[in-house]
Amino acid sequence: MALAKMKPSPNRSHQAMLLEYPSPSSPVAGEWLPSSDRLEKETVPPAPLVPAPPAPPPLATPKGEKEAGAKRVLLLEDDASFREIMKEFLTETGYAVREVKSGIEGIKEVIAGDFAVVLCDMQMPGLPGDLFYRAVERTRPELCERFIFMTGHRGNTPANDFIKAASGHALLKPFHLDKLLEAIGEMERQRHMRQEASRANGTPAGPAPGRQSPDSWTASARPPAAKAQDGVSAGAKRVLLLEDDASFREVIKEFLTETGYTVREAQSGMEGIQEVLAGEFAVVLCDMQMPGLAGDLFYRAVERARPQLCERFIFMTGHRGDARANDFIRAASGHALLKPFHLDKLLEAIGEMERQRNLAPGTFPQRGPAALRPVPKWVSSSDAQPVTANRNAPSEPPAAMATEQRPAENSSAGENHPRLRLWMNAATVLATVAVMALAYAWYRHVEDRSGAVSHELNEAQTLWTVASESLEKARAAGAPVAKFTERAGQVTNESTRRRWSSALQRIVDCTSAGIQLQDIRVRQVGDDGDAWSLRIAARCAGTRLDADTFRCKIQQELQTIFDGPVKTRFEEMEEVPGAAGEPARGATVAFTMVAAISTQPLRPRPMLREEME
Amino acid sequence: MKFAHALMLRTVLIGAVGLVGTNTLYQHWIQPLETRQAEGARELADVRERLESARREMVEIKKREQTATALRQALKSLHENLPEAAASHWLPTRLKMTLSRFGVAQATVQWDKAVDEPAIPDCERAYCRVTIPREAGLRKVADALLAVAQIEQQDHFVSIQELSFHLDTPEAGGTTGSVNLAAVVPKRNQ
Repeated sequence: MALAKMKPSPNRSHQAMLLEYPSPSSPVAGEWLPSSDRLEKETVPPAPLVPAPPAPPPLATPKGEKEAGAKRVLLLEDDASFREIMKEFLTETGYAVREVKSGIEGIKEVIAGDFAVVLCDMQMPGLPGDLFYRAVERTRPELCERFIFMTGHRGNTPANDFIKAASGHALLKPFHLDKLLEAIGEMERQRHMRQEASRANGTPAGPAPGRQSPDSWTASARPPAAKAQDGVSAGAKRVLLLEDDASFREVIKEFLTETGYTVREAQSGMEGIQEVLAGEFAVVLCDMQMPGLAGDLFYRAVERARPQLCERFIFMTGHRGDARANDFIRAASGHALLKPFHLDKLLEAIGEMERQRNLAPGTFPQRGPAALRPVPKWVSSSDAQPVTANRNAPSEPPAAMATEQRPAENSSAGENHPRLRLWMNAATVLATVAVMALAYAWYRHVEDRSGAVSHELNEAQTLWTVASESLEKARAAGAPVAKFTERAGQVTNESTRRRWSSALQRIVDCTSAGIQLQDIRVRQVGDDGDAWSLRIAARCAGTRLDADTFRCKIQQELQTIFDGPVKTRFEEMEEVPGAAGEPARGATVAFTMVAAISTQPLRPRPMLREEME
Repeated sequence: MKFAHALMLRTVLIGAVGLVGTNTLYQHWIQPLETRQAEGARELADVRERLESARREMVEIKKREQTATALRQALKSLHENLPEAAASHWLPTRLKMTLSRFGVAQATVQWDKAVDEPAIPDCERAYCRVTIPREAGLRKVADALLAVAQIEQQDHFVSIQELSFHLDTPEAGGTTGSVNLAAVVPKRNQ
């Protein structure tokens, strides 16, 4: 402390203290002004006291207090010399001062009586000023607007933020004692104005403007927690039981004692803090609803005084619908038992808590932000026998608890199976990669095939270019060859070369059977020697039938020789008398037959359907 | 259920994205390639067919050349032992001698003409007319026919073009028959 070496003097001089206090004209109450390090040497006359505010309501004065009627000031300061100076100054000024050296003692005083002013040092052992403020806010909220904080650490940002949030008046050590009076006067004036305003509006006086609720505290406003020292071994098997219900406390104590624990019991938070400061505990069984210092405030106090105990808390509550308590327990990462509960559940909760505490560091964020902490381990026993009858609680869990109690039912299976989700993501990625690979392979396959076809086409077209040129040359050279072949074939072919010589011989052979040729004419009809006409005039010593037989023979022979269709018919046929000198051998037929000869084969006749069937 | 819905939604989304992506990929990259490939394949088949047709035609030409070679040999053999003079000098005599050998001694052979045979190089087509008068020795038309037939049998390059025989010729010394002959003979200068 800045004033640790200052000797208290009856003639205490106001100049001996420095004052850093926000100007009353400051637009923002409680806003820090730039500090002034200069020491005020000259004598400053005592500041006139502000007009006396209306008489406060009668305060409950502790027994033995003789300053009844005086304004009571609660002074929290761990520095004895500074505390003594302040007390002497305020006493001379007319205040009745109750001095305490820690926040714990201050809480006792606050609970015991009322105060017009609370002068609170921010840095105190055990329970610092901000936590003391929070405790008072829970127990005596009307005192919150009577706080004047004192601090010597200008650069303490959490403390500054806290004071800003609390909108309390602040004095920066060292400060002039006149400033103290000014601050008290300003505070009382503001409080008086608020009371007047509330009277005029007919509404109860609210909190000081700008003062935020404790729930709005941010992590940055909290003082940094002291580094926890693990002292579990020292307090092993020791259980601190905080419960205001004597019968319930007795049942639990007896049960735990029989189980093997050493139980220290406290019926309020204040007693619990004394126990915590006095010894080590393996388990802290804390009721949420206690007179004076509730369970959450007790937890905050322990968090500052013995932070290593925070992870050993098991909260007990019978108010399921208390959302604030639920939020606190969730944020505190503590285990919770919902009254009434079975005693076995208590042992399970203790075992679960110890099991988690024995996990490897990092697996359980014990003092991290609330959002990173696990949900509280709610242990309820709706199906079990209640332990106590006077702690009946609603049978249905509150909405908030129901939400927290069965997280797996309301959340997706994937949220509870990160490995499954990981596998699903991996499978998705693999499937995507596989599809892309298949598509790429398909594309490459089609591209290769298309390229191969294009390559083959180019080669074929090149080959065709060469082949077409060669073919044209061959055609040009082969055309006369074709004609030569055709003509030379006709000349050299044995069968065509001797056709008429053979035909004439056959005709002569046919005439030997009594047929006398009279006239024969052969004429080429076609240009290429493929069509002929034959005309034969003869006399047949016989009947018409003999003449027809001769015609048929001639037709057959010609077909054989010319290898093509031959049609014959009689142009003339008549019976004539026999020639002179010829013996009468019956009728004589004079006839003329013609034959159409073609060397080209007839086109084959298409087969009829009946023939096919 | 929530996880199942999320999984189903994810599956549907992935499937939809995959479908759209595959369709886009197919439309923009694969389908043009396939179209180009199909067109190329059709064109390639057409070119191959033309090549095959050309190959067959070349084979035919080759065969025809071989045939032509054989035919040249045949023509050469036909024209063996023929006189080196022009056909007009020796063909009528040759025909008359052949007829006389087969009993037609008084036949008259007249040289008609000789025309070029463009299809057969170095050869020409010569035409002759044979007139056979009526004579006592030729009793029947059949005998004349057989004699004429022997012309083709003896000289293979000679072919009968037209033939006309009449048995009963009233006037004495008339014509019994006439034959037009054509002969493919080597082309010789006069």
